[in-house]
Amino acid sequence: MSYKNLVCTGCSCLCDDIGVEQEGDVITRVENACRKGAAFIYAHNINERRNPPCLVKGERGDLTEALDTATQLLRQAKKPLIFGLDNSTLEAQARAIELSRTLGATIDDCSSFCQGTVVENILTGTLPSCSFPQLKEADLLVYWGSNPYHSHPRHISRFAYYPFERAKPAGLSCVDVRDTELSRRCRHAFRLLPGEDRDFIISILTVIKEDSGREDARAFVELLKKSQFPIIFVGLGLTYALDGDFSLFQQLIETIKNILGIGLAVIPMACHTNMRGLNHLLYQQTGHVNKISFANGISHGPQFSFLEQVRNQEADCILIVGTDPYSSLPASLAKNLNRGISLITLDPYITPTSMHSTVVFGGAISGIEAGGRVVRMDGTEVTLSPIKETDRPSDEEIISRLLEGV
Amino acid sequence: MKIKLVIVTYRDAYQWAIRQTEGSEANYQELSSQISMAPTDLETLAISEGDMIRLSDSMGAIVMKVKADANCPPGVGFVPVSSYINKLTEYDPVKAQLPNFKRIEVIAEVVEA
Repeated sequence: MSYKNLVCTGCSCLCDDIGVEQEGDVITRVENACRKGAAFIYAHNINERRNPPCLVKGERGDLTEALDTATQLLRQAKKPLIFGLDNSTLEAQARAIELSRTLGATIDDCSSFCQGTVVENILTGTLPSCSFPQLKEADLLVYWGSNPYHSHPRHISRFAYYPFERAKPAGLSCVDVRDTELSRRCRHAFRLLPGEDRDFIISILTVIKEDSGREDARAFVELLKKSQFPIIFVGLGLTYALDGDFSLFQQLIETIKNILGIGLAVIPMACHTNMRGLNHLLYQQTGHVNKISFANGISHGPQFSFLEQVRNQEADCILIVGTDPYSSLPASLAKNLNRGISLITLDPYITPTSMHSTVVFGGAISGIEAGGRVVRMDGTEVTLSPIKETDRPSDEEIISRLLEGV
Repeated sequence: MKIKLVIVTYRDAYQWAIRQTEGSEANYQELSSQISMAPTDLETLAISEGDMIRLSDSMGAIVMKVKADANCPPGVGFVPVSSYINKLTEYDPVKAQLPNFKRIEVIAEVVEA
C-alpha cells in the first residue's frame, strides 16, 4: 500500500490537500475530498465507466488507426471546430489552439455559455479580482447566484470562509432564488425571483445614488457600507439572469468604488477544472477568451460560439475534448449534432457524446493519470502531478499527434 | 388541474457524484427526474410528494416526480441540470444570448396514475 498526495481536478477549486491510498493500481481510500471530488477520483477505477483507449466507428482500434482516421476527418473538413478542453491541462490547450490555427478552425469552450464574460472582464481589468489567499483580508463574502455546497463543496471550508473565520469574522451573505444550505448560514441572505437580479442591481444603484429604493437593496447597501473589502463570487445564477451581459454589474462595482469608496473584488465560480486556463491562453494569443475563428486570421464574435455553430449547422467536423454537449445542450440544439457532422471525441469516460462519435480517444485523466498545469478559478496556476502510470495517452499527446498529422 | 411554473435548473452534488461513478444509469435518472416545489403548489395541484407531474412548453413535454420543499418559492420548480430537463430548455438568440437553463416557463399538470 502507498500513500500519495493529489490535486483534485473534480472542479475548479483544485483542492491540493487530497490524500489517496493505493493498493497496486487501485485507489482504495480518499482523504479530504468532498463528495464530488471523491466520486471523481474513485470513478477512474471503474472500467465500465471508461472509454477504451481508441474507438473507430464503434470498434476498438489502435492509436495509429484512430489518429489516421481523425486526421483524415479534420483534413477533409471545410469548417472544423474544436470545442471543450476545459478539463485539459494548459499544455494540451496550447496544442489545441495551435491545431485550430493550422486547420483554420473555430475554437470555443463551455465558458461561452458559462463564466467566460466574467473572466474576460477580469483579464481586461474591467472587473477587479483577487486570489484565494487574499480572501484573508476580506470581511464580507457574497455568493451571488451560486450555492457552493453543491457546485464547489469545499469552496467555503477550504478557501473562502472557514480558514479565516477565527482570525477575522467575515460576514457571509448570498443572493439567490431560494433558501439553501448556504443561505441558512448567512447573517444576511437576499432572496430574488428568477431573473430579478437586474432589477435588484438597478435598485442598489438607486439607493447608492439617490438614497431611495427597495428595502432589500437598502439592506444590501448597508451591508456593503460595513465592509472594507467585500468579495462577490459570481455564480451561474447571476450570469444567466444577466444573459451574459455584465455591463450593469460593472456599473455597480464602479459605483460602489466611486461613491461608497469601497474596493470590491470579484471571483467567478468557474465550473470546469481548467476553463479559466483556456480563457487565459486564448486571451494572450487573440485578445478574446473564447468564440474565436482562425479561418481568416483571427476573428471573434457570437457567430463563433459553439451554440451558434451548432444551431446554424456551420461546422462539418467537431473535435470535442472532455465535454458532453449531447447532455449539456438544449435537446433542440443537440439534435443538430446528428446531422452529418463528423465527431471526434477525447474523453476518458463514456458519455452520450462519445457514443455518437466516429472516433473516440479514451485518454488519461488530467491530475490522476496525466500531469501538467491548470489555472484555478481565482487565476492561480496549479501544477498537477499524476499519481498513476497509464498506457493511455494524455490529451496533450493526442492533440500533438493530430497536429503532426494535419 | 394545471399551473404555470418557472423551472430553475441547478447543479446537485449528489446527482453529479452518481453520474461520475455509475454513468447515466437508473440512480442518475431518478435524481435527474425529480422536481422540488413549494408545498403550496402541491396543494394547488392537489398532489402529494412522490406523485408525477407533466411539464410542457413549446420544446416538448416530460414527466417528473414531485418533491415538496418549503425552501422553494411558490410558482418556481427546481430541477437538477441534465439531458432530461434539457428536453424543455430553449436556445433562441433572438430572445436571449444564453439558453434559458435558469428560467424555463412551463405548464405543470397532474399525471393520472
